[in-house]
Amino acid sequence: MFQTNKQIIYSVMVLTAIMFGIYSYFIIYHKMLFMDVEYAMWEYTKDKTQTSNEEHYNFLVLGDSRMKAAFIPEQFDDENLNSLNLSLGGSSAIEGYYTLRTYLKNNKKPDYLLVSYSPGMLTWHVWYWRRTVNFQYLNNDEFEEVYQISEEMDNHSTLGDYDYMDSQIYVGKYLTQLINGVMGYRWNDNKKMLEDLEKSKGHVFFGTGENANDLSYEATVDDFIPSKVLTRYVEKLLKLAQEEDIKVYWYTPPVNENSFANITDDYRSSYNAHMKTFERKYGMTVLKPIHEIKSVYFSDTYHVYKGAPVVTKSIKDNLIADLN
Amino acid sequence: MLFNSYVFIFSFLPVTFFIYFFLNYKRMTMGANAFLACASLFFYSWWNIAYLPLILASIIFNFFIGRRIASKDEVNFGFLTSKRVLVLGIIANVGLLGYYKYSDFFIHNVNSFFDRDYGLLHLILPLAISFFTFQQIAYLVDSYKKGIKEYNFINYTLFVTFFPQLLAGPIVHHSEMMPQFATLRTKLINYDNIAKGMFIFTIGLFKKVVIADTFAEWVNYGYYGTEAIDMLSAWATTLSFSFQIYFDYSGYTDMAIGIALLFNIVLPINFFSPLKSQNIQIFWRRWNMTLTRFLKEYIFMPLGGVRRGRIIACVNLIITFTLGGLWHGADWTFVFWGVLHGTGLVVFILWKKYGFKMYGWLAWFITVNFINVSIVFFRAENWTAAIRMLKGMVAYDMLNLPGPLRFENNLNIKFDNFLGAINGDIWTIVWIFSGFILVLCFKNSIEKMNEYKPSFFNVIFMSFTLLVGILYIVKESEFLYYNF
Repeated sequence: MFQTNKQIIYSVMVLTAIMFGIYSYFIIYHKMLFMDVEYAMWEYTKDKTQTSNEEHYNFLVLGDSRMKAAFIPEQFDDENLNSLNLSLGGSSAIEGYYTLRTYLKNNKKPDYLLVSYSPGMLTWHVWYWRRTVNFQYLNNDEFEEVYQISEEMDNHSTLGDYDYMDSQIYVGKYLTQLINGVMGYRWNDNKKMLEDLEKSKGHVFFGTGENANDLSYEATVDDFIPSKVLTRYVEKLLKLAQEEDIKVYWYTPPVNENSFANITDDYRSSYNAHMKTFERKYGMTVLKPIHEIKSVYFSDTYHVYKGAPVVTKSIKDNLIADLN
Repeated sequence: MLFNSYVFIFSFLPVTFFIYFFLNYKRMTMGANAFLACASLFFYSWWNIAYLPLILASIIFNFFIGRRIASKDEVNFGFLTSKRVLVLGIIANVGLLGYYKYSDFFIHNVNSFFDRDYGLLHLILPLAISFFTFQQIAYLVDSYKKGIKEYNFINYTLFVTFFPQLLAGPIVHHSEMMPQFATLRTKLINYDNIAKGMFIFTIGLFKKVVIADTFAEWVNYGYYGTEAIDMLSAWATTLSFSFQIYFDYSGYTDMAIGIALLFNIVLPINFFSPLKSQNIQIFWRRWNMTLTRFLKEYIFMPLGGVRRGRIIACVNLIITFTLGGLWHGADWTFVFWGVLHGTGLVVFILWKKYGFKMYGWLAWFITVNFINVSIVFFRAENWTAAIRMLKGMVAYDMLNLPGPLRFENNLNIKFDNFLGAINGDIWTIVWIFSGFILVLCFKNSIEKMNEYKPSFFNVIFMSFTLLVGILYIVKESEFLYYNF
């Protein structure tokens, strides 16, 4: 064996093909074994939307990581509201829209929908390629639709002009994740995360810190300038809910005291005006505008820990008040 | 089309390989050459088909000019003697290159010197124009001097467009290439050549996508900003670029040599451990060797070479390298880089003449640092960026050391944001250190290829290198020399 160059050539090609095939198999079909724990959270939401759930949830929550940490579904159990937190870290209304659309295809419609994206996530979206595309959260038709809308609305200035197929073609993009995942036994973390999410109906904490007073993104810019493509997706989301006769509530996630003090008046008024437009056009209800809670409620700049029951209670109180 | 792309590795290369040898197997040798020429033009057009007519026009023009020159005035064409046709041919080629590459540079300078406001043309530089122009100028000169004649248009097209070396060299002579295409042995599949070709191709791919592209990230960050850069970041940036360009271009050349070998064509060596050089003269004998050969044969020698005395030779050397710098890019920074290297060579020649001696390690240290410092002008977008980087390299008052080394001091030494200016960390230092080990302590890819023998180790080595190379292809990553 390996005496002639002909043998060498075929051996190299076969061996490389086998190793590439094994690698690709794991990358395509077993991301849960090595991706970071955020992937498990997205997979949970994907699974909940793409499959028909035995349980009927009459109250769905869509939002970003701030709402993932802040909304505790169990707190609604005593109100006959079976809620499910489908929020995704780093997501925007783009993912929210497709999440709701897919959920409705496979499940009985909810009665109420809480939408909660932070103001910053209506103006920019740095996570789209790193999470939505990398995690392959959407199918190719949906990715293509996003691409077309992004081109039409703002010529890709919000999302960036890349090829969503790259993540599927260039499997090498996941090499670092694979190495880190194997070194860090991530399959255990991911398995545990799925179990925890199942128990908590989609709620998770992003840390257990007990004070965070750094400035959030909203406090670092002068004005609220909504992205056209993200606005379009908020509208699509609200329109879809309207068509399905789902009552929509919008809850602006709270910020810490320092951030609240530094958010400009221009920013607040522009944001409020933006929300008013949605209220008028789609009949949704804004439960809370930009507001603050104590910094000790936050585990980091953006995510609440001790404040989660407080935020959930605030949502609950406002919602009940509106329903009554 | 890039060598380091899936479409090339998995589609273009295997399809071209099999059709070429199938046609040869069917004894359609001219058809095989025609196919290879067409495939090469397809390869070229993949980038931008708009420039296909340009390269075709250039080929047709030079083919007929070359034939006329090689006829050595056997037929009387009156005013158009061979020499005049040669001059015409060279002017036309240089004119084409000048139009596409130097128009805006020229206009910009006219505007600056004479306070005018002529509009820039903003022409897109056709891919490989510097390479196919030089190659054809060499062909015309060889036709005149050596009577080289090519009667077959397909062969000539193949000589210019042969895809492994079309985009960034090596710059080849007609006499190096065409006899190989004419030999019957090249028409048959040769497993020894394929194995060697695969061996060096995988090394080249690894050099480009794993090593060069990793260094590129730090280089791009380092040269991006306008604010002052700290000393360690500046050195890390310039050393990273020295390694980037070496592994990028030598990686490209290895791939080109490997691909050509699949077709039984041996391309000339272009790199031979240049960073082991202990003086600048040896460096240029080992770095981009075919370009150096071109500059020597077609610029330095016609200027008089060393025949007119030492002083004229030194002046010729500086002129040659200045033009070499200008060939790399239409900017004064490139010109200055060329002047620096020409001057460096002159200094070395004088040093040698007066019989000075130096320890080998010190000579290497000075040579590598000269290359590393001068290359700042090669990489920087403009003078301001170059000066910013050089200032950073000597900014002893801006030192950012790694946090774990923290100590109390009043020397303005900081311990936060170590290599932050280039988005680097301790791994950047590890990579740079590894870069030195790779280029200094190991044999180069050509030596490795020449020692290649079928073995189990080589199966594992090639499979692993190829696999990692393929996995590291995660984006379109052009070779640096595609810009020239």
